Amino acid sequence: MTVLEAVGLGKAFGGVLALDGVSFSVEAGEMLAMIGPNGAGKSTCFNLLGGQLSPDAGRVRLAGRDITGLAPRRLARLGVARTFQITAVFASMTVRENVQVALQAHHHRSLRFWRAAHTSFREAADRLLAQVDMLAAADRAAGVLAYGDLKRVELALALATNPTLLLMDEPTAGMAAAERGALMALVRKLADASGLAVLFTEHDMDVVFGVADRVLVLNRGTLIAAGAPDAIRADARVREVYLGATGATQRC
Amino acid sequence: MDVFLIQLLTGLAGASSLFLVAAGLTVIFGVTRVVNFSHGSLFMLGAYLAWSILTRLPPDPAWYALGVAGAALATAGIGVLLEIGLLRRIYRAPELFQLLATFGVVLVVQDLTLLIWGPGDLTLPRPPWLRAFVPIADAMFPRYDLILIVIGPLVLAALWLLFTRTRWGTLVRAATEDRDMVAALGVDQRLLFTLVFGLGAGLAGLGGALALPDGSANLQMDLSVITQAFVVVVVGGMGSLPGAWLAALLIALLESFGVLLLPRATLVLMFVVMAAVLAVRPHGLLGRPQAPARESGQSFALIRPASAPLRALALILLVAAIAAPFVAGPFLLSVLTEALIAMLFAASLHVMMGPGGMASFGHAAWFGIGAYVAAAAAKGLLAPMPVGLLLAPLLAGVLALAFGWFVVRLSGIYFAMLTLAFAQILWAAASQSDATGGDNGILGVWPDAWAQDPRVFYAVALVLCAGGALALRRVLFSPFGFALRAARDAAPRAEAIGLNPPALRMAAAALAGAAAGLAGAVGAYFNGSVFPTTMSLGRSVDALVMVLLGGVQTMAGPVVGALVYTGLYDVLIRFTDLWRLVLGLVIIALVLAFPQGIAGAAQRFERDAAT
Repeated sequence: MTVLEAVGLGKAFGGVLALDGVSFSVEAGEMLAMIGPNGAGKSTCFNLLGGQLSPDAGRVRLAGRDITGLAPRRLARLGVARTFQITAVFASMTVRENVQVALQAHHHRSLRFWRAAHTSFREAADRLLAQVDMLAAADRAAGVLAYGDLKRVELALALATNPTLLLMDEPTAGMAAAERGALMALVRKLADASGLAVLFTEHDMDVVFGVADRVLVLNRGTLIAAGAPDAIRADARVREVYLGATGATQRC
Repeated sequence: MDVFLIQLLTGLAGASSLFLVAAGLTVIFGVTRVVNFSHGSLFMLGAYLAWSILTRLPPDPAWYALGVAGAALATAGIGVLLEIGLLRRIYRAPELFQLLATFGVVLVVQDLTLLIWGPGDLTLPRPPWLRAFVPIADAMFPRYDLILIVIGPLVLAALWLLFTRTRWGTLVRAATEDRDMVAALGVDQRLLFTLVFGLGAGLAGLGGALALPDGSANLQMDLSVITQAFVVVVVGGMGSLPGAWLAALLIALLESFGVLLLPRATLVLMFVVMAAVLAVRPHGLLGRPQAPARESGQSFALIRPASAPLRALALILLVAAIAAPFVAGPFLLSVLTEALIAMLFAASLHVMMGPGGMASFGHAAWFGIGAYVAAAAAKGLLAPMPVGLLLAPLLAGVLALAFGWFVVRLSGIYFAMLTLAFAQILWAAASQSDATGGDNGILGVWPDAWAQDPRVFYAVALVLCAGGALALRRVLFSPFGFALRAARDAAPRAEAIGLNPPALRMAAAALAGAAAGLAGAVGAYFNGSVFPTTMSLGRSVDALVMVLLGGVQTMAGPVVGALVYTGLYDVLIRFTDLWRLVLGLVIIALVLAFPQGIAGAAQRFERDAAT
């Protein structure tokens, strides 16, 4: 089943085309990696899909429904969750409270003024934290966590909204190599178990070729290749973009 | 046609002095990112210094020009001392603490000016050349105003040359764009900041000195000028000089023509224009989004329910408060009632500033609305007290919701300035309108017969104020409170989980407005009267000081702050005439010693002790 379908996405900033006619789709349970050199348009593409920006051209459909240009909070209600390149969690709360806020938001409980917040969705929050292996840190302040742990908490926040599509912008940036593998393996497991569709950008090629089902390659705002990891590895244009026209060394 | 021309010229003359003040403010903000509350005080000092200098000089134009320049230079010198002595130490403190410290300076300067120059208005004996009129279009126009009209653009041109044609100016512009980068390039930031502050102060002093012949040097100048200057800077765009000039022109013309069209609504008109500009251009006419100063990136401390010892202390305090009417005399009881009102007022502001992340500089607006609604209910509707106590928070809350609707999308400083302007306009409206009794206020707002006994009224105040503060605390630990805090901590993240930050902030504004309105109503019945001062800037700042003293990031903060502040105030006002001076120095000392507030410092102490 196709979860996300992007058709002819385009976005310009002050006359500079950041994204030009990009089309692709993500299937349920699929992990789709989006790679490309700096400035290729990956983050722009993510912000179009996540509602942070609205596209100048093209449509975005979620399970067949047109969601082009909807605000992030509307998208969240429709099942689109995301993590940010610069990890953002709620620093003035504990790890558990972070997830509780997300659960309360998802269940339309955020305009309750009188009930004590710390008792609502406590078990559900702990289940999500266990899923991302952060239950032991549930009572710690989210603001003081190590970077890798923050990423896990952010993932739990994203999962709290029960998404069908998860957008992850540079999910492993700034993490140690071992941590990267563990986080992406966790996401892989979630995708396999629940049919969650995952679109992620990534600089680490080991991560990309290790977990992705398919890979999209962006360069200067256009899609230059799409396909299985092995096909991408062998693609001449991709090698040219990454290694330069004459680059002949074995890398990526 | 003549009237039109004369009003135009009057407007242009007003624009010049307004521009001078606003230019100083905007230059200082652009580079140091400090919103200098004491800028109006520097303007006032400029006027007083000019008076002292000019009354000792021969009354001819050349000496006059020299004297004005001397006053401006002296003010610049005071600015330099201020920067070295105070501001330099707090550039890394949170924005609000910088504001609080500069407000301490306002208080200190007020009393020092009073000490040096006395309480009376000082007018400059105007020599003939200053009194001269020039015939323009069959009307007589004061020559001095024509001189003023020229000075504004001249100063703008001079500043423009300074900033574009000199190396130092290039550095200042670079620092306005990205001060960290400039520092990384090896520029002596300390010197740059000091000089910029001196320049800004000098411009304020020049504005004050030039305004002297048309009016007088008086002790109200500081706050009236700072409000206008804030409006100009916000409308023009923080940090933009041409923007400040354009906005000064706009506001001054609006004022001079507004007097013709709507003599009583000029202030309201100013606010409407400001709101309209900010609605279309959230960063002002020529302003750009400010690059955030990197090193002061906000991080929010973990907020926990009070620890067991703190709860025990709160319980003891509550029991003492309940026992008070049985042991305390009438005087102490009235001080306690006042403290209770202050506590709810401060707690309501804390909802905005702490979890809401919205620095309101005009919170007295809601307090005042509550007070006036209670007075209207008592005197107009002849309604019993409970009706007034019910209507006041309701109306204040609804109005705060409506006001919130168009300000919650503005960012920090703009939000603060808009709330300030709104409160100032309400204050002006209340002191000018017949419906509110003008400056004479509304008298005879007494409680019902059953609550006339001070002990009974104290009990009523205790239930409403302490109960209100506890209710607010409960709300802050509810799902709504969590969501509000989430929107403050990381707005994009909050949106991505389905929250609606502007709506949450609006709800918080309504809640805070209602609570402040209740405090205002209790205060109205307690005092038996309502005056425009209930919504004056001073009142807003009282609340700000209470919250910041106690610490924004602790729920106990506003309560502690209100008690300390009310206590300090009552003690000071009884033992010294110079209470502003002492209070100002205490505020400055506290900001320097506890940038996290008293309760914040206590919390950290507790945490350090535990580890």
